[in-house]
Amino acid sequence: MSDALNRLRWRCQRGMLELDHILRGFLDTAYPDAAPATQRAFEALLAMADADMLDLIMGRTEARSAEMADLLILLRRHE
Amino acid sequence: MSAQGGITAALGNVSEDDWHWHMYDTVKGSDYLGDQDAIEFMCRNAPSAVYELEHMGLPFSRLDNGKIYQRPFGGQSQNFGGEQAVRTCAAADRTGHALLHTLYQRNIAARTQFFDEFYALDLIRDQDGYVLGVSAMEIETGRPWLFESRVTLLATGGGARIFRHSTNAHINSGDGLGMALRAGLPLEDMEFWQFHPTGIPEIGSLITEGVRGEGGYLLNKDNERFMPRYAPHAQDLASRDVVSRAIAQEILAGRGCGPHGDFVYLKVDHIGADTIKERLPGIRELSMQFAGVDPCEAPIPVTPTAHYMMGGIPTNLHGQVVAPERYGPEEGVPGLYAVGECACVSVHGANRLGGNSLLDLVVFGRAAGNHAIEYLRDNPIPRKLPADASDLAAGRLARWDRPTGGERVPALRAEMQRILQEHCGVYRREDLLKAGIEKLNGVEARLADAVIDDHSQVFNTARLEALELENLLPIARATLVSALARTESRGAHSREDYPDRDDDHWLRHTLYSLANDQLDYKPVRLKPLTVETFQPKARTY
Repeated sequence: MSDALNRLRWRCQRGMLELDHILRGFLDTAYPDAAPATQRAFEALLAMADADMLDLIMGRTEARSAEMADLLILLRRHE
Repeated sequence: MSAQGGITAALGNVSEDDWHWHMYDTVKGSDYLGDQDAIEFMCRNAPSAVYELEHMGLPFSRLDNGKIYQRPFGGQSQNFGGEQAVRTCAAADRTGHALLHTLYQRNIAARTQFFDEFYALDLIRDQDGYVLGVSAMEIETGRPWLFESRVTLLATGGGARIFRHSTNAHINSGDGLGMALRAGLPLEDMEFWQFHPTGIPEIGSLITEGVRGEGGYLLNKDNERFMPRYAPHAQDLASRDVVSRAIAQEILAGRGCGPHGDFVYLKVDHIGADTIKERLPGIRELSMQFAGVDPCEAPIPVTPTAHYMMGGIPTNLHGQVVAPERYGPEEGVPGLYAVGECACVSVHGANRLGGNSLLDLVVFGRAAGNHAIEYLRDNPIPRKLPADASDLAAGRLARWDRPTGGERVPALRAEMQRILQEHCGVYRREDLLKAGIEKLNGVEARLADAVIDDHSQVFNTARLEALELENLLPIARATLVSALARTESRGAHSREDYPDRDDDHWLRHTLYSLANDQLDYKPVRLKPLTVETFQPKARTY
């Protein structure tokens, strides 16, 4: 497995069970074939705090970019 | 995640309150297994701990008069079992998150140096029993490190990932407990695990009691509303342990739902889509996302889900780890402290009350910090590291560098989780527990030949998962062995074959040690610090 993918896998380990499921599910099934913009949005998402990330995924707060909005749709689909 | 959460302290901002009433509730909630000196210490110190957090900047929700908002939680009473008390302080629905941020900011101000991407492997202990630091692995590079320290404090959380159905994040692999066991230290009261009755199967997300509070009820595969058979009065709103036991009974009797018959349904659509959307929006989100079910249209699958570990590494009022070393059952281990879910002081005894876990870690975290300062003052000179300080960790790391060929770690972990769920879940029985230990022996034997496919060095999560399994397995063993030995039912430990609490024989704490599965016991500390003992009596609500 590549170092870059391993690094992302590590960052998908969070303090909330729900995030573990959503992020790992996406990384394993969709990330490798995702568009570069989507991959960049995923990496930006992983830099966020758990609670803020969950608010975004659950749709309680709005994405600030079109790429992030597209990613959120994919994340919800891949859980 | 969906739990409202909070930190309990008798501030009296909403209803009249007293720390002594909080103490009574905690002793009773623990089913009299909690140590009453520790419970008095915690409840007495709760208001000052909350005010200290407030002064640090924790953004508590507020009442109209500006005081800290408090909400009612189960098991809270006024006047020693009287009217419902309103005692749990909250920062909206993310108190734990706010607490974490507040304390993190204080660490930044204190210029604490964080080693974020390091994984602690083992305690370093010398021949005199002093703990001198930890061995660790740098996750980014795979490099082994030794951290030499006169004081080590474990705050590594619980280990509910030993169960198949768990509300815990994947990082809750009980690493501190594994480290303690390998260092020859015992674990206390590991038979006591709190199960939340309504978690989403496989995923573990909690569906709060609020759903049943709004009129939701549970159904078995025959579409029968079964709770009235178990709790004719409170029915679906009975306490967590009662509802968990009822669901477990239905599943064991073959009345569970789904292809494996391992869950029941929580029906709420009858209260109407508008009401659900208005009063339970978060639960609807969770259910749609993680169960694939819109509760406005269909029932939510739920099952009892491991939530919190009441036992842990034995500690005293100062957060110092204690063990039966030479002179008695509670001798301090010099240089070692434990705080939070990984520790057992014991304030939760056989059953934890909501709102007491954040309080436990704040009160005893502060006590441990204060004691550690004194310890450092009294022990100014570092002791010499033993020559073999890194051997245990080096061996563990090298073991996973073997070439591929044997069984895989995820499969063994899944099997352990199935064993614990089936043999040591909500209900326990001698034959089930013994069979569980036999099966676990098999998993442990197969672990010796297990391999990982990825031998790279950078952020190798496969290696981490293998190391975590080496911590989870002895926790699972401690749980099964301790549960088999305790031939009574108390709090969260329900033995079908011993349905009654037995104070004559079991008003004592279990101490499990890894060597030969040794069990020792120590008495419950029934004498509080300054007030009268709350004598054990029947626990009814």
